[in-house]
Amino acid sequence: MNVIPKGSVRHQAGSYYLPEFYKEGKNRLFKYYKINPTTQPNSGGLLAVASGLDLQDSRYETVTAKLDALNRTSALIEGHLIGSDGLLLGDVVYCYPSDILFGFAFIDQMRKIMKPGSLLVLPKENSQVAEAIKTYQMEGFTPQPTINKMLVFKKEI
Amino acid sequence: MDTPVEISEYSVEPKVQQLISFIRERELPEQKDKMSSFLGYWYPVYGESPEHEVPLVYDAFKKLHNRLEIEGVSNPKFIDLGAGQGIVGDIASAVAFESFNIELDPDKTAAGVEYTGPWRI
Repeated sequence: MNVIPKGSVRHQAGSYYLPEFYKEGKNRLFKYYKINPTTQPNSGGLLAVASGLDLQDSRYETVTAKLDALNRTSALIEGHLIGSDGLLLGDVVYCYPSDILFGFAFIDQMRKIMKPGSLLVLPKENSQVAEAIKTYQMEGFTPQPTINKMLVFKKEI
Repeated sequence: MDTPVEISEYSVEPKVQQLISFIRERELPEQKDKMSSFLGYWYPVYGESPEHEVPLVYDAFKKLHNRLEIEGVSNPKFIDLGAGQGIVGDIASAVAFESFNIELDPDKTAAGVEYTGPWRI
């Protein structure tokens, strides 16, 4: 059975952060570590297992080396998903966060690179999403009706 | 911020059942191990298994696709950021996209796992 038409889906390896947002997110992460030396940020629960990053080890050198390695290339750039206007070439952008930088960089990046009128879709029952919404108030986005436990936000024009 | 309103429940189409089978048939051993690790974390998000999650994601994206076309967006492009971890949620969303014009952008930032998932045909 071949239910996925060849060519309808493209897989692009790399980070979903652009370099400038990765850098800013990392800076914010380590500011967090300085203020909260014994408390780990919400990583979504997956990062430590998937990447081997020990979230109990907040030493700058250890964490930053691994994060840098994971963010060596940006899938958005490598996959030519950023248009000449600097905006993301997508009408719907979905993300299930499982990323230690999500709360420090993701929403900011989406606010700046999503094109007006496009939709950001995030899982409703997710603690990282809840924290990000609380932190950023989704400024620049208009909430839409949820669909199947997914929050939908429209990028404002 | 206004409280969004739930507008629909998901439906399960025969095609979705085929997609679930497609996932199950192609689960790699290491993916099964990962899924076991993540069971307590991942599954409660959308459902309890691909059988629950795939219809949810599929239906949601179909609704969004239809909505955008009604709004005049021709052949809307979907991007899944983070669909590179080879675990149920991302497989589900990847498969959900199959009938649409979709770009997948796996997130090695979060996972750091090179994915060789079922949709790479």
